[in-house]
Amino acid sequence: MRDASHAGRRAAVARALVHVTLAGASLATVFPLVWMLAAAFTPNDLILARPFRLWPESPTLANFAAAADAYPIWRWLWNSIVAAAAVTAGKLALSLPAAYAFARGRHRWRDAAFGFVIVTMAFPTVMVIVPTYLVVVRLGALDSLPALIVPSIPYIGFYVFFFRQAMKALPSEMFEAASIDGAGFLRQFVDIALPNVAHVVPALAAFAFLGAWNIFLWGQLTLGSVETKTLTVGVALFSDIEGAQSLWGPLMAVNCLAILPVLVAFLLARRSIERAFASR
Amino acid sequence: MDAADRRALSTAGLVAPAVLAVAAFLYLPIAASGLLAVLDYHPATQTFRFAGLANIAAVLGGDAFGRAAWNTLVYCLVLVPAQVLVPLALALGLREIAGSRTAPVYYACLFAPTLVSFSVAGAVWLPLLNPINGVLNEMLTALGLPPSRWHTDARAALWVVSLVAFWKTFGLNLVLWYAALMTIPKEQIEAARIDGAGFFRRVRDIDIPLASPTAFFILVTTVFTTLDDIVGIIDVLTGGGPFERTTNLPYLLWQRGLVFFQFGQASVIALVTIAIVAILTWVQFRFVERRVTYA
Amino acid sequence: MPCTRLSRRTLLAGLAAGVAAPAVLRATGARASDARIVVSSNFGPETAFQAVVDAFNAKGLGVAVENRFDGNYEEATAKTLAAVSAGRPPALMTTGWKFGYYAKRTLGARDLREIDAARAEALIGNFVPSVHTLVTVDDALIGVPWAMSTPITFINMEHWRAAGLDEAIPEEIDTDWLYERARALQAALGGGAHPSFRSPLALSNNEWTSQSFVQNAGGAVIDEAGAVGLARPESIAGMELFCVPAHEGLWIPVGSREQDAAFIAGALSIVTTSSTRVINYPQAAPFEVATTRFPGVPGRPRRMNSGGNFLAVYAREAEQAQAAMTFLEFCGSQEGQDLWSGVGYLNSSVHDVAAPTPLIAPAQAQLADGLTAETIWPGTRGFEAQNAWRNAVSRMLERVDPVPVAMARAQDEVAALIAA
Repeated sequence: MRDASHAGRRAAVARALVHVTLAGASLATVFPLVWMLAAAFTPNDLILARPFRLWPESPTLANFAAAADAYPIWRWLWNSIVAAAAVTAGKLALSLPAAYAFARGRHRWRDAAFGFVIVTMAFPTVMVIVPTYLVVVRLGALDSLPALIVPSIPYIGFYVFFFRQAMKALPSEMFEAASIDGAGFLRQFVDIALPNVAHVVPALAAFAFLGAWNIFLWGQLTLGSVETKTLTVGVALFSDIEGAQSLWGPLMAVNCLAILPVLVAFLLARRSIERAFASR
Repeated sequence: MDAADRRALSTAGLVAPAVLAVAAFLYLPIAASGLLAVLDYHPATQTFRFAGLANIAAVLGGDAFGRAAWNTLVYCLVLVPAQVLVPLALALGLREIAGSRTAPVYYACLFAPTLVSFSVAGAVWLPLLNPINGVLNEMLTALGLPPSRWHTDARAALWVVSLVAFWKTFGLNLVLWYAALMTIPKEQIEAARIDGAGFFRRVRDIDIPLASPTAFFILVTTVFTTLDDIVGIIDVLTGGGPFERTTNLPYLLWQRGLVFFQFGQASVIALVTIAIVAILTWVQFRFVERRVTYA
Repeated sequence: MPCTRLSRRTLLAGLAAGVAAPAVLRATGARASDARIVVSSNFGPETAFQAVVDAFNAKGLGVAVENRFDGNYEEATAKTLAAVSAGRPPALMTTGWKFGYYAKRTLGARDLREIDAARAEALIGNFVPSVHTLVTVDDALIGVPWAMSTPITFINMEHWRAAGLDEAIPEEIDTDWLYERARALQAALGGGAHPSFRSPLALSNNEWTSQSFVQNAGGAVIDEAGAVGLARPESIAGMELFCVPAHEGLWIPVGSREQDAAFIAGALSIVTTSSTRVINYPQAAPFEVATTRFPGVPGRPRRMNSGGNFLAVYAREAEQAQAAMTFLEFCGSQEGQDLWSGVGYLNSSVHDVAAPTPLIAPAQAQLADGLTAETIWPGTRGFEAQNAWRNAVSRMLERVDPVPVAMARAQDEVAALIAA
C-alpha cells in the first residue's frame, strides 16, 4: 500500500517535471514569434523605443495599412498561394502515379528507375541552382511565377518514396479482386490505390505547400519586379539600405501575414500527419 | 499485345513524367555543372572560354573553401544529433503527459517556428540579436549577465547560426517522432514497466526499435536538411561572415555563383558537395539501415 | 447546384479582378503610346526618388517610368546582370560608384554621347565639372552623377549633454578629439547610468569608412595609378587608428541596419556613416541629432572619399535609350534636383538647390574641401576584391590578425583579384 502511494507520488513528481520542461521549452521557442506578433500591432515609432515587449502598446492595425501602402502585399499573398498550390499539385501529380507504378507495376527497368528518382532526395537545392538559373535567364523567363514554380516541382524523391511505401502496404488481395472484376492496371490505380492512400495525401500536401511557400533563395533570384514577388521574397523589400528607413512595424505585419496560411494548412492536415507518420 | 506487355507499357507511362522531370531539372543541371567547372562563362556577353583547371585552383587555393568544408562538418556534427535527439526527448515528454490540457499548447508552440520562412526568421532574429541594444542582450543585462555580440562575434557566430537553424527546423522531427511514438501499443510499455524496466531502458528496448523506420527516416532527412536549410539562415543572418566564419559549402556555392558570378567556381563546389552527399548517403544506408526493423 | 455554380463563377471573376487590378492601377496616368522604361533602383516607394519618378510621369512627356526597388548596390547589380544576359536589361539602373568599371565593362553601360551626343552634352552640363570624371570610364560618359554622399559624424546630443560635454561641436574634428569624447561618454553614461545608452561609438564596419581612415592617414586602398596601396605604412597607420575604439571596447562593430536601429533607439552616442542619414535619423530619432565632419587623422590633411551612385543607361533599343535620356534630362533639371535633394545626397549639380536640412552642412564642407572617388573595383572579379577587403577590415577589428599582417595579406588578395 505504502509502495503504491510512493510510486504514485514519484509518478506525479515526474509528470510535474515533464510539464515544467515542456513549458520552458515552449516559451523559449515561441518567444521570438510572440515578440514579432506584439511588434506587428504596435505603432511603428514606439517599436524601437523599447525593444522588449510581449504585448502591443496602444494596439493598432496601422502597420498592416502602412505595409499595404508601401507594397502590393495582398498581391504577394495571392502570388504565394498560387505558387505554393501549383508546386504542391505538381508534386502530387508526378509522384502519385509514379509511386503506384513503382509499387505494383512490372517493367525490367522499374527498380533502377525507382533508385534514379529517390536518390534526388539527397540533392541540396543550391547544387542545381546555377545551371537552372542560367537556363531560366536564357529563356527570358525571369520575373514570372512559372520561373519560381516549375523548377521547384521535380524535388519529388521523398514523395515517391513515401507513397510507394503506403501503396506497397495495401493488401494485394484488394488489387487481385479488382482485377478479377475486370479492372485493368490503370483502373486499379484510380479505384483502389488512390482512395486507400487518400488519408495521408493531405499530410504530404501540407509539407509540399510549406516548402513551396517558404522558397526564399530561388525566389530572390527569379522574382524581380514588385508585382511578381511572393510574401517570403517580398519581405526583403522592407529593408532600404541607403535611406536607413525603419519600417519595423510593417515588416512584422507582413511576417505575420506570411505565417497565417501555412498555419491553417497544418491545422487542417494535422490528423493526416499523425496517421502518415505513425509507426506501422 | 498481351496483358504483361500492356502492364509494362502502363508502368513506363506512369513513371515517365517523374523520371523525365527529375532527369531534366536535377540530373541535367549537375551534368552541366561538370561542364561549367572547366569553363569561364560570362553571362553578359554569353561567351565561353575553356578554363582548364583554373576554376578548381581558384576554389581550392582560397581560404574560404577549407573554412566552408570545415564548417559544413561542424554544422553536421552539432546539428544532426541535436535535431534528432532533442525532438525525441520532447516527443517522449509530450507522450508522458498526453491527454492533459496543456499538451496541445506545448505541441503547437514547439512546432510554430517550423512554419516560418528564412526571410521571416531573419527579420525576427536580427533585432533580437542586435549586439548593441537587442532584446536578448537587454535580458542578459537585466539578469546581471555579460552581453554577447552573437552573430557578429567571430567565435560565437557559428553557434548562433546553428541555434537559429535548430529553432527553425526541429519542429518537423518533433512531429514525426510524436506520430511514431503515439502508435506504439501502451500494453507493451506497461508490461516492460511492470518487469522493472526504467525509463531509459524502455525507450531503448521498445520505443526505438518499434519506431526504427521513422528513426531511420529522420536521421537520413536530417543530414540532408542540415546541409541545405542552413543556407537560408546564413544568408539572412551573417552572409557567411564575419570573414567566412559561418559559411558552409552550399552557401559558398551560392555566393560564388550568384553573388560573384563565378559560375565555374560555383560548379566546382557543387561537384565537391555532391561527392560528399553521395558518401554520406552510402554510409547511412550501408551501416545504419541494417539495424532498422521494418514491421 | 445552380447556387454553387454561381458562387464559383463569382469567385473566379473576383480572382480574375484581383489579378488584373494591380495592372490596371499601374496603367492609370500613362498613355498607351508612351514608351515604358524600368529604373532598377536602391530606393523604395516612400523615398524622394519615387517623388522624382512620379513628378516626371505626371508631366506626360511620352515616357512612363517605373521605379523598381532592387535592394542594395550588390543586389541590384546582380539582378541587372541577369536581366542583361536574358536580353532584357532595365533601361536605367542606379549604379554604385564602386561598380563603375563593372557597369561599363561587364554590364555594358551605354555611352550617353553615343546615344545622342547633343543631348548628352546638355545633360552633363547640369553637373559641376569635378564630378564628370566619376562617370567617365574608358573615355565613355556612362551616367548622370547625381547622387553623391560622403561619410560624416552624427551625434546624439541628449547623451552629449547628459555626459556634460561641451555642446559647441567643432566643425573639424580628429580621432584624438572623437575617441576622447567617446571615453568620456562611456565613463559618464555606461554601467546603467543612462537608461538607453549602450555604447558610445560606431565607425561603420565596411569598406567605405575604412577607406576614409586609410586616405586621411595618407595611404590608399587603390591609388590613382591603379596600384593597391594597402601595405603602405600610411595605410596601416590609418587602419590601426580605425581599430583603436573597437579594441578598447568603445565600439561594437555591427551591420549597418543594426547600427542605424541602435542609434535611432538612443543606444549609440556617435556614429560615422553616410551623409544621406541626415534625412532619416532626425525623422526617426526622438532626440536632437548634431552633425560634424568625419574625424581626420591628427597631423595629416583630411582626404575624404565620396560615395553614392550614378544613373546609367543599359537599354539596347534606340527607343528605350532615348526615353531613358528624356528621364535623365528631368533628373538633371532644377525641378528634378529640388525633389531629389530630399533623399539626402549632396548637390552635385550647377543648380541652386536648397539644402534639405542644415545637418548636411558638414558634408557640403567636405565636398568643398575636395572629395576623392570611393574605391572603384576593377577587373571581372571586382566584387570579390571588395569582399576580400571587407573581410580584412573585419579581421582587424576582431583582432584575428595584427593590423600589419592583415594589411599585407589584403594587399596580396586584392591585387590578385583586381588583376584577374
